[in-house]
Amino acid sequence: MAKAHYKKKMSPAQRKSLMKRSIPIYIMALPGLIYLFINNYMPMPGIVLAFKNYKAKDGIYGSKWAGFKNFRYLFSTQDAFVITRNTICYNLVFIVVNTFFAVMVAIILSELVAKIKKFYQSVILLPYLLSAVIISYLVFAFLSAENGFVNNTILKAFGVNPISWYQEKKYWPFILVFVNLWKGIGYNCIIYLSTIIGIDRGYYEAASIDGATKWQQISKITLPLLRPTIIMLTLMAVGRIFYSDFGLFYQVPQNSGALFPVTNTIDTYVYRGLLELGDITMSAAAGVYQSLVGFVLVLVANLTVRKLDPDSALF
Amino acid sequence: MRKKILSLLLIAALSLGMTTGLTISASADQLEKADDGTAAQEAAQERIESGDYPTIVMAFMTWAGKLVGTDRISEKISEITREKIGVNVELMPMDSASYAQNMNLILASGEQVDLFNVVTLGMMACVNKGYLLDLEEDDLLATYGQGIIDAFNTVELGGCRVAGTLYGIPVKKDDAAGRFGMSIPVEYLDAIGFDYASMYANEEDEIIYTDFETIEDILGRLHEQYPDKTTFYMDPTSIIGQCLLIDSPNDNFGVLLDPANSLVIEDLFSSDLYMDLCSRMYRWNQNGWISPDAITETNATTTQVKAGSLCAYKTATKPGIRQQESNLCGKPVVIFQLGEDFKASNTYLNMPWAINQNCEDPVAAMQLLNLFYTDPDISTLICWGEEGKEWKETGDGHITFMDGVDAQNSEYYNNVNWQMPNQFIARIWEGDSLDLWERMQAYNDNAVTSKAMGFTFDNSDLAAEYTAMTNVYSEYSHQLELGFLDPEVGIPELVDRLKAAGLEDYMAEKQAQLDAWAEANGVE
Amino acid sequence: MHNIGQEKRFQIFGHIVMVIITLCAILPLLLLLISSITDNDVLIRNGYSFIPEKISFYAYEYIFTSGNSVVHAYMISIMLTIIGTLLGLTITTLMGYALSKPFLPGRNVLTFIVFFTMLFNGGLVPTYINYSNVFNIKNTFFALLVPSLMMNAFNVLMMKSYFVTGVPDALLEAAYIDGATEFRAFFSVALPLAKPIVATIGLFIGIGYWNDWMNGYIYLTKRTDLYSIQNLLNRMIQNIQFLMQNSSTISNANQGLASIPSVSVRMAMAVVGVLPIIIVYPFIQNNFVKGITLGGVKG
Repeated sequence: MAKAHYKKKMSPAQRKSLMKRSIPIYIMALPGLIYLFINNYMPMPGIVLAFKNYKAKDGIYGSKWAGFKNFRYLFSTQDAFVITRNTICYNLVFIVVNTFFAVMVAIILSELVAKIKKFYQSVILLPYLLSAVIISYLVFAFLSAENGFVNNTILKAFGVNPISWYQEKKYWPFILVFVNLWKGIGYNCIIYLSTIIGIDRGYYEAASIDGATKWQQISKITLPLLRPTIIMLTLMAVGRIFYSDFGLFYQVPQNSGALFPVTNTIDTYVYRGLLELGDITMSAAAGVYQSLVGFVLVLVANLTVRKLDPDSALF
Repeated sequence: MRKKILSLLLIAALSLGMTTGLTISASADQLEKADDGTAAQEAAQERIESGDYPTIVMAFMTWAGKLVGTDRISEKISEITREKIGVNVELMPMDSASYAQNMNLILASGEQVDLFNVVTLGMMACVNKGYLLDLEEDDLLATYGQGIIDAFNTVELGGCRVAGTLYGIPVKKDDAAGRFGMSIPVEYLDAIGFDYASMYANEEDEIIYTDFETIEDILGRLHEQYPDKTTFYMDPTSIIGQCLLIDSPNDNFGVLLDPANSLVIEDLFSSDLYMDLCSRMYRWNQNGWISPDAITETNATTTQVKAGSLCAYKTATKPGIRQQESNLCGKPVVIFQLGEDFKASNTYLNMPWAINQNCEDPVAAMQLLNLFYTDPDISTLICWGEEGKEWKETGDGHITFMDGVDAQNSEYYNNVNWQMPNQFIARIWEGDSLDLWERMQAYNDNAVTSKAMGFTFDNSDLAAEYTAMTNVYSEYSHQLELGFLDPEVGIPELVDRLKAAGLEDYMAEKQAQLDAWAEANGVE
Repeated sequence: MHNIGQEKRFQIFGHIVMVIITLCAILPLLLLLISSITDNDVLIRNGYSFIPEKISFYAYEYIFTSGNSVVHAYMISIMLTIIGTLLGLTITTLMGYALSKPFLPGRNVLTFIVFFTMLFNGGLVPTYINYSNVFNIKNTFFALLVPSLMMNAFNVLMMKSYFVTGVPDALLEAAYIDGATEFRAFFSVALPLAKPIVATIGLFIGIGYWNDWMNGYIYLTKRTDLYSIQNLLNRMIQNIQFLMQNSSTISNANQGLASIPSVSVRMAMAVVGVLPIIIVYPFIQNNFVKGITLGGVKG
């Protein structure tokens, strides 16, 4: 789709008409901008809390500077590598796995004709609405060593000995990826589904007349048209690559120590330490660290995308 | 003549003391300037006369957040406090899980909260952030808190100091705890034919003091008798604190292994004490006495017993423990104890009441706090609720639920009396003996006490090491202490990783601070 | 025509995949439902099971008669979701549309301003101070409505992207030629075409409000009558967890359990929390209908 290119030099008349057109648009943007200002930009200077030696009497802005002291705990330990590796690797896997399945489900749902597809769509959304603790109970119901569904029913049927799931770390990357997929698939597919719905049916009809198979239609029409959305969502996920879903990594493994090497992420590490310390500056520092890394990565990724496929870049 | 005047003066002083509720007491050195109470009276009078009653906000945590009857109880308390000291009271209970976060936010944002309990916030953390008011500044405590001074002895108040300054007032509760207690329902002991009745040292005792051999014998028989039940379980977060006779200033990284006699900080995890504990648990686990799901257990011990899936569990002991556990389990239990009674150095620092340094009227706040420590009526109100609504008299000196009210539907059943300033002067609930608190005070006073009582460790410069060590310890703790990991393998690993995380520097700093404190306070 | 055979095969394949995925989703939910009607003691003894040893509706009885007033929390949740979604959807859609206009001076700057908020935010304490001290909304309904949930960069950028690619310039030009103002063009041309995205983002915002318990957690310390249903459930569960994990610093932790409801009640509350969505969602799905291209502009 060709973008209109406006020359820098405009005649006064053109500029006037441009302004006339733009004013209503600015008005439309106004409520949103006000909200962003109140909700996001007013508290933003508070980021300095991460660099301060906080004393209640002086407040956030009056307290003395502490340099990078509050950040030390994130780097100075041997575990820093483990938690960073876990966080990044899981996020990368999540991006790939979740996107693949979300797109697949969206395509299938858009193509299915039977009325039952509404039922499918409703049901797969439900796990998203469950809180992390409830999910941890459900996972426990399956993986409990004594009473778990897997040990008692499935493994018994195959004559395999019961496994102490919460103490064997080798299974957990798979378990967590699966639980994360299970939780998000109904939600993640929605955005792709609505994009697909917006595609002009005419394209498919024309392709069908030309003798294209289903798979060809999907790969030549649907996927390319989904590409901007996929790229945008991936870019946003990259921006959050140092964050993790606390409920997933803390509650679901039931805080079991044996699993730490594969379940400890930056967020859970910080939580465990600060639970006792109660240090608000240190947790602020963790937030700044995660944001900064994400920011840099997104900028880099966005630049790359802009070189390859300018329409899909975020900005 | 002089003698007569002197004796007159003495009588005058004594009678003045009596009218203001004073007794001449042996207070701690720093509190020598015992006030005669006139300033306090004047301050109260002024407020009452002006009719302008300040509202004091009092925050604490409960298990179910703000209880339905909270506003009503606040008003009932205010009726009394308006009359006596001219203030209004607003109770602000919050959910236990969110208490620390809510309080931190409230304190950081300068919202009004005048009195609050420091539980879960961390005394050291609050002091470092500057949240707390120095209670002895301008003689605030001495002038307006005489009742508080009288309620405690020197050890208790001294134990609440942080680097010499008094920032909080401890609560009256069980300060000592019996190490490694075991609770087993009567019906299970009867089923295996164990004669516990003859094991009590004295008739009125509620605890049987015994050894591991006996206990292991019992557990073995319980396991045989009830193969479908879990034989033994203990709540993994309180194992070290409740089982071992050690003192852990601030945390378990560097402890006093012989707290009654020595001030040497040693590594708990390399010690024989820890190895013994873990080996024993490993053995119990191998015997099948511990459930394979123990680490991921989501139900509390007494809940499990009540549901019939658990035979025995570990508990700390104190006077009244037998009744307490029997209530919670829904069936009578027998309490055994394997360790000694001990008072750790942090016992007064866990949940003191403090005044916000931001408080607009510290005098009023202090006077209110003082009233809570001395007035049985408002103490009963805050602990048990209102007479006729939540509780009623039983006729023999106790109180119990009002008709039609129980733990689930009561409008004010907070279950956190141990957090209230002075539960000792409130009414006694049915089931506990009427002399419970006298016995409790005697128990507290007679227990073995840590030499480091009154020492606080400031780890703010070692926060990075602390975070790293906490994560490492969390990884191994449940596995070792519930017997899932062979201690011969697990403990060396744990110690190595702790050392790599900075254990030795941490312990050295702790020792240094302890030595400095000992010198400053004349402790050998 | 081999197309029909192929179509059929695809349909079958699609159904098989969806059945597997749906089963995976539905099994744990079924477990949730069944455990909510299982007797509490049985749950503790035997764990969760598909075939309960003993059925008991105590949990639901408790929920709908207890002082916590679950019904009231439901009302709050519903009201909050409706109001929040309407407001949020309005400002998000307007913002997204505004950013999609290529001629808008400073458009890239505005987009970046929006996007920046996705990556950086002031943090919990400054946000709290902002809303609590400056705007005084603590312990009011606004504390549930305003912070974080009404509009976020993700939704705005999704909207923007849809408007850019899904609303053909040609159609808008047609409207301008007919003398429409910008507002007019938006309402009568762009908006109807954007039904799928509006429904989608509306769903996201709605779910965000429905699920949220964080706002209630930090801003509602006195007004228990403003608890939403997820807030209620989460408080309860967190209190129990806290009890389990912190008994070392707090004596008599077990006593606290006397006043907290049991396992089956927690399960029942979770069921109750997802119920309305199950009911409402099929109606929203009707809006995922293809936008019909108005006659006059094709190819």
